[in-house]
Amino acid sequence: MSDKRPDGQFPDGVSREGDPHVLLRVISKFLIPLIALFALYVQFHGDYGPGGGFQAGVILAASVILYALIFGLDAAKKAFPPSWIRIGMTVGVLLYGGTGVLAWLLGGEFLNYSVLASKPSDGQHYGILAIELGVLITVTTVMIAIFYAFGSRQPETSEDDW
Amino acid sequence: MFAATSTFLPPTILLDIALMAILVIVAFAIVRMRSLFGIVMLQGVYSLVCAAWFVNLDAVDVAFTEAAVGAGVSTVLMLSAMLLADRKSAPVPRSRQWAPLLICIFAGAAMFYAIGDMPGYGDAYSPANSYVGIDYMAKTAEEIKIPNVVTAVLASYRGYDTFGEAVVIFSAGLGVLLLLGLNGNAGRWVARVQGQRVADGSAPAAQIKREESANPALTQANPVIHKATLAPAVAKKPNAKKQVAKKQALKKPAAKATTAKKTSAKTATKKSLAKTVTKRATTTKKAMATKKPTAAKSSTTKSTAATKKPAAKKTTTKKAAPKKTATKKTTAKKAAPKKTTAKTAAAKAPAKRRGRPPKSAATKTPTAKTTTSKTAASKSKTSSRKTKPKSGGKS
Repeated sequence: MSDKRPDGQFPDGVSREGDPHVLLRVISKFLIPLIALFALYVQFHGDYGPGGGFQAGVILAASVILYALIFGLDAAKKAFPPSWIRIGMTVGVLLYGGTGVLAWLLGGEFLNYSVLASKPSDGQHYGILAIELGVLITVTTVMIAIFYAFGSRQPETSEDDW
Repeated sequence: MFAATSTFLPPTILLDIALMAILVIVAFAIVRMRSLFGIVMLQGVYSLVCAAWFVNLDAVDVAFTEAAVGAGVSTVLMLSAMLLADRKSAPVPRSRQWAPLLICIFAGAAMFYAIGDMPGYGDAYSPANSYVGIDYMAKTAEEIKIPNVVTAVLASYRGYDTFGEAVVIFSAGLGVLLLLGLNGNAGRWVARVQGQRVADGSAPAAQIKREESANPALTQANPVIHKATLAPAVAKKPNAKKQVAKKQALKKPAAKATTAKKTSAKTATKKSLAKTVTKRATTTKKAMATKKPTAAKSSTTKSTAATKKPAAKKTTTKKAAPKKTATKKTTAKKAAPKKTTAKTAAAKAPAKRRGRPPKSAATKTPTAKTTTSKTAASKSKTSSRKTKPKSGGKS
């Protein structure tokens, strides 16, 4: 951007089609799917390796936020509509709480997953899977919600504004 | 700490020391720095070094969280919060630094005092390793049958805590949504104290919504007093003095400093200026239709009144600049097709005048579309947003 003359032309007269950050765009286009995939790996591999719902949620949200930073808030809002946020936030917590209530209904204590299946260890697996999914959904949507809320308020910034 | 168990010194201790030293250096740099952008970036660095240190301490889960939350998301959030505030923090006078200094000294001294009670490095009988922790370690294998004890503890043994955590996050998100709204709420739900709008017009999301819903019935019913200069406030002036209407309307938007006023004023002046500048508008329209984006600049230079003001303000109102270029873009875009009616062309003309040379007009190829003035408003929204990722990408 800095080599641009005030009349909007580049010194060499070549039109760059309004994209001064083409490197960033290309690289992040390559990286964003990998980040999202890594989030899912962290989520579903949480039983075996480090990670879990919270970390996966933040990583997934980070991929959306990166997308928003590179391609704009509007594009991000198309990819991840704000209407999902209210639903996701609530569904995540309800999924967590609902698992506990389900354990209640099946005769166990609140959040005692052992009663969820015939074998207690299987029940624990299902329970952990369910609540980690709930945490994932809540964390992802809340992180994106906070970003959208701040980003939407943001006044335009120029290049030399920093 | 590690001196207590002199028999066991892990080889990574040097790495630990190095990382801690980096943390201290970064912390001092943060304290000394005045530029908020630099501070935010250094906080990200701090979190990243922290994460590396946690990995070194075999706390991979914590490192994960630190890297993702501390270095990733919170840096972005701090940046977006910073952009709403100042770019630099004012230095605190020395007279007001004593109390924080005392607090720091006492807290630090208390921590040093507590070091004596810390368990030795890798102590098998430390509190963390002796009571319930050992139970978890022993029973996870048979009760839950997953290899990662951390997940077992977090999700199952300490399920209540994690549930509380999820609820905390949920309520944090709820609070943000209630206070800030997602994208449009800030503008759609305008506070009316004693019949006056008190919404903060500086929020771009707010003014976009207002632009869309700026039907005359609403704005007339609630006259806006405050600086946001909504439709009626500005629209009156050019009508009152038609002779100077041109000049006034041109000056007005430029004189306003904030971006919020810019666009709202633009929509207002659209209608009022339609009569006064039809002549000029038609000529500029022709010129623009032939020359396309580059014409935008030449037309602005033609009208001397327009170029004077913005140029003078250029240095002072930096913030306003991008908004203007955004509107510029749309006007250039819309001006290209010849099918536009005279009215919409006239509406564009004032915006053109007051603007400055289109920095980004040339970058975008104008798409030929016959747009009504209504869609034009929505278009300006999208284009104004589009310029944002540049800054974000830079960060």
